[in-house]
Amino acid sequence: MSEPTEIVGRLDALLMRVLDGEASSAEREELLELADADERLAAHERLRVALRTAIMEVADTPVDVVGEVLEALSIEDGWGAISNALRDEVMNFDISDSVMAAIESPALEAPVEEPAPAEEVVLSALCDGEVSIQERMALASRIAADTESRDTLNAYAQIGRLMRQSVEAEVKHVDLSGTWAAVAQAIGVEDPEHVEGWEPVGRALRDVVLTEAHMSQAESAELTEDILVAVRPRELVLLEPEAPEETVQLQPAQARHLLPAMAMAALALVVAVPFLSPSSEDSNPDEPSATEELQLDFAEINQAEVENLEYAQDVFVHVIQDDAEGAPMIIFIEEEAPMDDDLEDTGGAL
Amino acid sequence: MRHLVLAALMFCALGVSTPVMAGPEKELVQGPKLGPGPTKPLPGKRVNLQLLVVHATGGATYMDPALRRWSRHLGHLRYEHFELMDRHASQLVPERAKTFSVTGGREVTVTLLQRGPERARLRIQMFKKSQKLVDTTVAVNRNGTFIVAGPRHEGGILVLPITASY
Repeated sequence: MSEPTEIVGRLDALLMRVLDGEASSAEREELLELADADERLAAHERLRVALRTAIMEVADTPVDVVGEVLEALSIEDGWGAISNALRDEVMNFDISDSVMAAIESPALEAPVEEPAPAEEVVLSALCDGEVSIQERMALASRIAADTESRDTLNAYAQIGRLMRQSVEAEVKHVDLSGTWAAVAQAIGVEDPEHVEGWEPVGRALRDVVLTEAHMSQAESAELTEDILVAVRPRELVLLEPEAPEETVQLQPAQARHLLPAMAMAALALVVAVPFLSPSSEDSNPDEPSATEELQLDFAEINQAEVENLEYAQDVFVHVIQDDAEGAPMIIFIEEEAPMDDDLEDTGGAL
Repeated sequence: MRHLVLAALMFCALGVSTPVMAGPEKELVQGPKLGPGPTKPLPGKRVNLQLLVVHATGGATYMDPALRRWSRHLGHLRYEHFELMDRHASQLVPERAKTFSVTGGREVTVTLLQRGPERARLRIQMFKKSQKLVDTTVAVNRNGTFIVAGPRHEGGILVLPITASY
């Protein structure tokens, strides 16, 4: 009796030949016999029948992959006519006329059931990606030689760009941080922060951070503070620059990846911060708390004294102490102070 | 991965203090929230530091309302127009330098050397690009303010009131 591993190997080899369409009748019969003799399949009658049927059907079925692909392509985009033209001209190298005729044919053959929409409407729909593939193909060939239509399309694109810029500028002033949480609650999402499939990524990040990050408590505290300052919403409105800013136009592909990338980065920060920050047990009371609001007191009387002062050669420094009570000391720096070459520099060079 | 790095850089960029060019009629940007008024003493060895960036110029007399605390003293400078450009705040721990970006490509690094019951010693370094302009050590009374001024900026000078509060 053959070893089980040999049987499995033979089964595998036969199955590959069947799937590749290279198995002879004898090999297919051998495969079926081996499958029938396999104890694991004995309990699965339906599976054995299905296997037999599949093996016998694969036997001599002709496969026209090119035809099937072209047929699939032609379902929605009109390539059926093109593929037919290509087939007809396959023995003739000059096929451009037939191809061009095939490209134009879908539009020519399209039934006209409604009055044609206005040109501007068609162009606007084209700009917004709302036309069918056939219409787009027909429009593309026509617009290629129509300067006015191309100008109109450019104008629409410009309007769209300006509108997006305007919306983005407005959105900058609006706090949308709680939007997703509210939407998630409204649509019944239990955990708004849950991201499907994120767990393995988070585990990998955690492992990397734990392996690579060797930060002192002080460095960790500083990083935490910087991150929280960065993430914390600005409290007041940012001012618009008086001159229009240069904006970076993202390509659609870039824009498509931007939001997921930012979401991933935000989640990475959320994952990383707990491991980069000291725990509450080992926190140093002398270290600043990143979440603590800074409070300031101001003395009525300001007293300051310069203990040490060094400055660059081309800099003059004056220390001014106002006689008025409580006035703060002023360290006045004159950059690029004019120097007389005949005078010796008595400044405290660094 | 490339997008992840891009997004991380954007987050880092958000962390940079935002210098704002503001005209006289403009509102001004506020930085981290600062609570005025009497507070409980800051524990440990920490010191809360505030660094304001004020643009002093000639011309029409104007004092930014946010600077009214120092208006009397700023008036001794030979400028008439004082406008708050930026506000930095940070908590200092001993021997840990904090660097603040100041308009005009300058940076101010502040290090808390010592916090005593009555005075704090601060080391102040000002850089312009890679050049160190000034390196000084100042002892300032508790909750006291001193001013670093003089760097030229757009027809005037920059004035930097620095307060050490604890």
